Amino acid sequence: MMYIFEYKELIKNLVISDLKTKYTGSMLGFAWSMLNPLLMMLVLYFVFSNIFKNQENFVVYLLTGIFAWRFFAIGTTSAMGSIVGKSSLVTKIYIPREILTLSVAVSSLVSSVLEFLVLIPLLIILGAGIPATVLMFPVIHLMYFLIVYGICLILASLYVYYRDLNQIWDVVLQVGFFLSPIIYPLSLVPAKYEFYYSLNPITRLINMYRDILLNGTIPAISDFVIVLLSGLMLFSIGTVLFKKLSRRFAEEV
Amino acid sequence: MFRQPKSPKEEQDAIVVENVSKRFKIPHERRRTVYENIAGMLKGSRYSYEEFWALRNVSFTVKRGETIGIIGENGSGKSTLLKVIAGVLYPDNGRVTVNGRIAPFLELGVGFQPELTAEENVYLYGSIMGMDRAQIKNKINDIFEFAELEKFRNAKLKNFSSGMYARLAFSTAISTEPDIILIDEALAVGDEAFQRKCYDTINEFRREGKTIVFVSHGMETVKQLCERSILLNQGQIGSIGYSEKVVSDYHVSMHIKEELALKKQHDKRIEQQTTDKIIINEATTPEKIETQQTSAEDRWGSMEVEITEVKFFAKNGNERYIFRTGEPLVARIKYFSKTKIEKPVFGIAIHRNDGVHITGPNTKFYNNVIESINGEGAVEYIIDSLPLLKGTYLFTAAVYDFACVNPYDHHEKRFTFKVVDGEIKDYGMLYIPCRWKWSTTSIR
Repeated sequence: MMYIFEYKELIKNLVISDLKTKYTGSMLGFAWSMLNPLLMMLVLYFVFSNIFKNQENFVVYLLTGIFAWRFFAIGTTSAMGSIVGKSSLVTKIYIPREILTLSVAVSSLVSSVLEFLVLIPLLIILGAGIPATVLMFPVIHLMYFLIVYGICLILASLYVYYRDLNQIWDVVLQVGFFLSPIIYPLSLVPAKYEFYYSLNPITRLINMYRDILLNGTIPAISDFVIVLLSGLMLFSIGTVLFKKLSRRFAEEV
Repeated sequence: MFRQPKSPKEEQDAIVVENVSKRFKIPHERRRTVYENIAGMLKGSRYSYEEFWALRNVSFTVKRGETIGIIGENGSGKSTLLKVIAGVLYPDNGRVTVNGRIAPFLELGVGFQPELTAEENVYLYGSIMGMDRAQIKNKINDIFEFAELEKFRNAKLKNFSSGMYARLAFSTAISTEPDIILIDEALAVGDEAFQRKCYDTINEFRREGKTIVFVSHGMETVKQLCERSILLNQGQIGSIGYSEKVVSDYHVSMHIKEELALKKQHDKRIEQQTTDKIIINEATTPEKIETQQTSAEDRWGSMEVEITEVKFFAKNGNERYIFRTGEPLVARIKYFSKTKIEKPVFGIAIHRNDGVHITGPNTKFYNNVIESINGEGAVEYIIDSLPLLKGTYLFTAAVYDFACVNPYDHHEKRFTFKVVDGEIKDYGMLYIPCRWKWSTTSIR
């Protein structure tokens, strides 16, 4: 982990250049990037607002789920190509290869925080107010980052060897989108499946975001424990796998 | 439990390579996707590949402040070794220990982005080398001054010429204050003046006591720059020690190799001859063979007498294809005649490979009248002291009738031998024995 400090300048540069290309170098670019989730929210709103009538602040409810999901989906998808896409930094020079994946993951983290920031004026405009529990956001988001980064490490290193992983992962993400309570509330899930359902840490995370942003309640301690544990587990698996697979990166890239 | 304090000896070693082996797998059928892997498994075809050991049990130590050269022919593992030291490739066996910050010049301008300005790229490259912004800022003026690109600081890199690009890359790379520098012939950049500057920089690094590993094909450069060298031969250390000795070992090994290649070429020629003969026999009825004219591009004749083999020998009777000026050379021409042939004339010719005809003697000129031949035999062409200088020469062998008009068998420039520098190193094509006199007054 010491490489983070030794190469902090490089990580910074890579994150900035990644954000620059993502937003074509301007804040307007960020505004454009919001078009997709907002349109998606609008569509979902019109389709489902009649079904889930009793859900308060359905707009923010949907957006929280969408933003949380986007961090996962976009973060993992873009990090998958982080090694293959920077082949000259792998084959021509030595830097700890984790840096390439880390910087893409961090860039997604920055984007995600910016997206969540959009919720704050929205909450005020819609008259919901901002609960004090919002202050827990950084803690939850960092735990989420651990999960995302762990999966990024796994995907980025596997992608070097299996180049159709992106297509497979697209399908997994689509299934995941519907298996997470983004559109519908958790209460809709039949009781007999609830156990399996709650194994998905992202389900817990989405609920936690809704707790702190919408309901103004502190999430259950069990949620914290399980999310943190899955984060640590995925991060460890990712680190070990990445270390092992990175040995032949320069030959396969 | 305790971290062992480094012994003074270890401190001195900049690079320790222990029993390093690197294997590349070259698959017969590349499987790069999950789909291909599953499809391959269903088909039941095994994942087969060729193994290629780019490095085998390589061990050596580079002391702090030493400049070491790595030489060897293409594909001998030089670049692989450099990449293993740089940490780009991971060895399959063995261990590499590096004490200090490495600057690998495997390729110049790694990570440069054309859309950024020159200055931004310097910062980016510096950060790849693990420097922080303040460190780079201190150096940036020197970098541009050294690269002679002060005027182009804010120009986008994509507008740079390849020479400017390389100069900027080199200047940035050397400014990172590495302890250990790995150079893979990336030096051939820029014009002559800049190249000299690069060599000056390397010499300066040496004076500053930095460790340099230098991979090159330029033997003279290696001898000049490196005290010690390593010769790699098919992934193994062929020779290690003082550069003078290692370079000469390299020349010897190249020599042996070339000799083998020439011999092989020769054997192939002889084989070809026999196949020619078979084709003739099949294509014609036995009665016609006698008068059959072959007309291969470099071989013709009636084939009443056939030259079956041409080989070159040294003084001691060993088959040889590389000679030194002044050495004896014997060319032995074996023949076979089906019937009794009266007064055949054997001749040879030597051409330089650019076509210059050097000599063309035959047995008749030398009053060596052969009364008649029948069956097998051999003729030897003997040069007591080869007057040819360094170069590649083509050898023609032929047998004609006594009038030297009708060829029985003529092999035009089908055989090759080489001459390399020996005691005599004159310029030109021929060694003409001579003497020199010197005097302060006029001699005659």
